[in-house]
Amino acid sequence: MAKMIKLVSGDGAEFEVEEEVAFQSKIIKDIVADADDVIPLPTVSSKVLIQVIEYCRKHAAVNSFPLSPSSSAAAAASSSSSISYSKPVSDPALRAWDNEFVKLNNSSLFDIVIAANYLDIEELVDLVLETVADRIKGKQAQEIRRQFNIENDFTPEEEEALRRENSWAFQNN
Amino acid sequence: MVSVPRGDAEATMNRPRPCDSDMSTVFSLDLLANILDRVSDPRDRKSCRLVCHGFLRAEEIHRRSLRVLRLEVLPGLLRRYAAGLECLDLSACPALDDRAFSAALAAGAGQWRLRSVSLSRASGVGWRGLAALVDACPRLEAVDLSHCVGVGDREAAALANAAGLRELRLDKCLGLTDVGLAKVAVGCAGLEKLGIKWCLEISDIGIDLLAKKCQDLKELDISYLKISNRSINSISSLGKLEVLNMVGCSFVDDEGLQFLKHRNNSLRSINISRCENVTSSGLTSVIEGNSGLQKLNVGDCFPELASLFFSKLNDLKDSLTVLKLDGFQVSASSLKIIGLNCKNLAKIGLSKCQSVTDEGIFELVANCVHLTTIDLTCCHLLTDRALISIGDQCKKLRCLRLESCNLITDKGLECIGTCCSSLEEIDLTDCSLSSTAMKYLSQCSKLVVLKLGLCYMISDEGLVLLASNCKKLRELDLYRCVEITDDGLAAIAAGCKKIQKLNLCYCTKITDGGLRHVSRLEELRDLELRGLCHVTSSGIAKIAMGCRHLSELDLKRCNLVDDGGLFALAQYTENLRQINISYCSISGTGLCMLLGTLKCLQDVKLVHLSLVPIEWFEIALRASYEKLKKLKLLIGLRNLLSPLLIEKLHSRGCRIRWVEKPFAARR
Repeated sequence: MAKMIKLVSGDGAEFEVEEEVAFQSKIIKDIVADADDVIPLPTVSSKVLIQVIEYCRKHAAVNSFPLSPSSSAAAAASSSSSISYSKPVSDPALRAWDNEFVKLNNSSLFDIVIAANYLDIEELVDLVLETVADRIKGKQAQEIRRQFNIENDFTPEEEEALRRENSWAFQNN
Repeated sequence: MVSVPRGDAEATMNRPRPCDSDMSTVFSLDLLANILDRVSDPRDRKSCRLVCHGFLRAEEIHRRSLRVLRLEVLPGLLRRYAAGLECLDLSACPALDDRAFSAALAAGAGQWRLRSVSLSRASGVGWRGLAALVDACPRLEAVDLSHCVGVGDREAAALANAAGLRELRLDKCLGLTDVGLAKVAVGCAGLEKLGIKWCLEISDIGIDLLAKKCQDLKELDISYLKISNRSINSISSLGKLEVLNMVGCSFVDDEGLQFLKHRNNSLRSINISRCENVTSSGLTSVIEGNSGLQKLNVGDCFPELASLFFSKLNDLKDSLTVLKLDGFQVSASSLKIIGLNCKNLAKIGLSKCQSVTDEGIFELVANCVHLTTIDLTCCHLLTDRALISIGDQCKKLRCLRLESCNLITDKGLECIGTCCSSLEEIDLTDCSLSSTAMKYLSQCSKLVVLKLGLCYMISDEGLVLLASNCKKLRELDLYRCVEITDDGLAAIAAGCKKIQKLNLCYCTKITDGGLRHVSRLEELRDLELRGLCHVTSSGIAKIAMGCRHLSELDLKRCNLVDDGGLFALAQYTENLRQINISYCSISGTGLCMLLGTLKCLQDVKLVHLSLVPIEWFEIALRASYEKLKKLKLLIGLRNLLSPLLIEKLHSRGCRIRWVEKPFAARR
C-alpha cells in the first residue's frame, strides 16, 4: 500500500494523497523527510489545494522520476537574470491536458501559481506563468490592464513621459 | 525554483484578496520579472512598462541591455536600470561627452553590474569619462571605442585600470601608439579579444609587448597596420589564438607568414586579404599544419594562385567551411580541386574572379553540396547554366550574389526559385531580368534581402508577384527600375510589411501617391528616393507621419520638395539620423527647422541648396554642431562660413567633406 500524506488546507479541510503525488512539491518532500506526515498549509485554500493536487496526481502518474532539482540560487535570485525553467513537457497528451488545466480565469490562475510557488512545484509555476505571458503578448498597455484588471496608477504626466521614452529614448539591444 | 523570500510570500498570501485580484499587487516583483522574461518581443516589453508601477518596476530590474538614443534622458534611464543592466550601448547617443557620461554613471553609483559598454563613434568621450567608467563598474569586461578618432594613449591608460577587461575594440583610434598599447597590455593581462585596426602609429615593438603580456588572446585584428614580419613572429607565440585578421598589412611578406605554420590547431580563422607583398607560397604556408582552420580569406592579394595552394587545401578537408578568393584568376580545374578537397565548404567568395566559367561552377558544386553562401559578383562569363548547376546541387543555399553577371536571364532564376527553398538573400544587380524572374523568385518564401538595382525591365507585375509570397522581405533594392509605378508600391506595402530598407532611386514614375503606399510600411528605417522628380513635400509628409522609425532618408535631386517636407520630418521622424537634401528646393527656414529640431541627426548632406542664404547655413549649423558627426557641403562655402563655426564642428569630432559638384542634372 502506497504511503499516504495528509495535507490540511487553510480552512481546515484534510486531504490524503499518495506520497509520490505529494512529493511533486519539493517543500512537502523536505518536510516529510523530517518525519512529519501531516502537513498544515494555512495559506492555501481548499479550492486551490484541490486543483494543485489534481495537477500533481496527473504529473506523478506520468513522471516516474522527481522533478529536476531546483536551483539553489533561490536566495540571491531577486536580481538573477537567469530564470531556470524545468524541462519542457514532452508527452503531447500531457501537454494537451495541461492546456485544458489552465483554461481558467486570471484570478484562479494567480491563486494556483502562488500556491505552486510556495510549495515549490516548478513545472506548475512554469505552466501558469507561461500562460499569463501568452495573455500579455501582442497587447497594448491598456489592453493588458483590462485583461488582468489592473489599475492604472500612473498620473497622466507620468504616462506621457513613459510613452515618449518608449518612442525615442532607447531601444532594446 | 522561482525565489520569493519567505516573508514576502506569506505576507502577500495572507492579505485578503478581492474577487478579481490585481496581478501587480498580488505577485511579487520576482514573479512579475519571471513573466516578463517569457515576453520576448521588445514591443510587448515596452507595452508592459506602461501598464502600472508594479510592471514598470519589474521591467526595470529585469532589463539586461539598453541602447540609449538621447542624451537628455541618459541620467534618468540609468538611475532606473542600473541595478540589473549588463550591456549598455551609447554609440547612438548624440553629443555624448565626458561630463554627461560621468554624471550618468554617478546616477547609478555603487550599483553598477555593467559588463559591456559600447562607445563606438562617441567622439566626445575622453580619458576622464573612461576613468569614471572603470571606477564605477568593477565587473567591466568589454569596451568598444572603435572610430573614436581622438582616443589616444591617455585614454588607453585609463582603460588599463580595468584589470578584468576581456574584450577591447580600439579600431580607428588614431591617437593610439605603442605606449598606450603597452599600458593596456600590462594592465589587462587577461585580454582575450583585441581590435586595433587602422591604429597606424602601432609598430612591431607594441605588438611584441602585447604578445608577451596577453597570452590569453583568442582574437586579434591588426588590419592595415604598418607592422612587419617581426610582428607575425611575436604573434605566433600566442598559443590560444583562434582568429587573426591582418587585412592590408603591406609590410608583411611570405617570410612573415612562415611563422604561422604549424600552430597546433588553435587557429580557426585567418584573413590575409589585400596583403600586396604576399605570394602564393606564403599563403600556402598558412595552411600547413593548421588543420583546424575553418575560415580562410586570401582575397585581393595578387592575380595568381599556384596549383600547390589548391592541392594543399586537402589538409583542411574536414574543417574548412569558409573560403574567400576574391580577385583571383580561378580556373575550372582549380575549382574542381577545391570541390574535391573541401567537401564541407559552406561559404565561397569568388567576387571579381572574372575568369570563372560555367564549367568551373559545375565542378565546384558537384562536390560542395553543403554550400549556403556563394558570391559570384562580377563573374561576367557566367550564364544560366551555372545557375542550373547550383540549383541542382546546392539545396541548402541561403545567399547568392550575382551582381554584374550580365548574361544571367530569367531562365536561370527558374531553377534557383524552384530548388533553393531556403534562399534568404539574392543580389541580381545589373542582371538582364524581367518580371518573369519574379515569378520564379517568389517561390522563395524565406527571402529577406532582394537586390534588383539596374534591372530596367522589372515592372509592377513583378512586384505584385513578389508581394504575394515573400512576406519576410526586409530589404528591397529597386535602384533605377524605371518601369515601377505607384501601383507596384501599393502591392509591396500590402504584402511585405516587414520591409526596413527600400531603395527607389531614379524610379521616376513614382509620385506622391506611391509614397502614400510606402508610408504604410511601419518598420521602414532606411529610404532612398534620389531623383524622384514628381514627388513633392506632400508625399514626404505622409512618409514622415507613417514611418515613425525612419532613420535614414535620401532626397537628393527631389527638386519639388520644399520646406513643407522638412517641417513634417522635423515634427514626426524623431529618430532620423541621416539625411541628404542636396538639390532640394528648400529655404533657410526649412533647413534651420530640420537641423534644430531633430535631436538624433548626425549625418547631413547639404550640397547645392541654392535657395539658402549663407547666414541661414551659419545659423542652422550653429544650432546643431554638438550632434553632427558628418557633413557634406559645397566647397564654395568653406570661405563663406565663419572659421569659428568650422573649428567648433571639428572639435566635436564632425567630419566635413567639401565637394565640387556641377549643378547640371544627371541624365
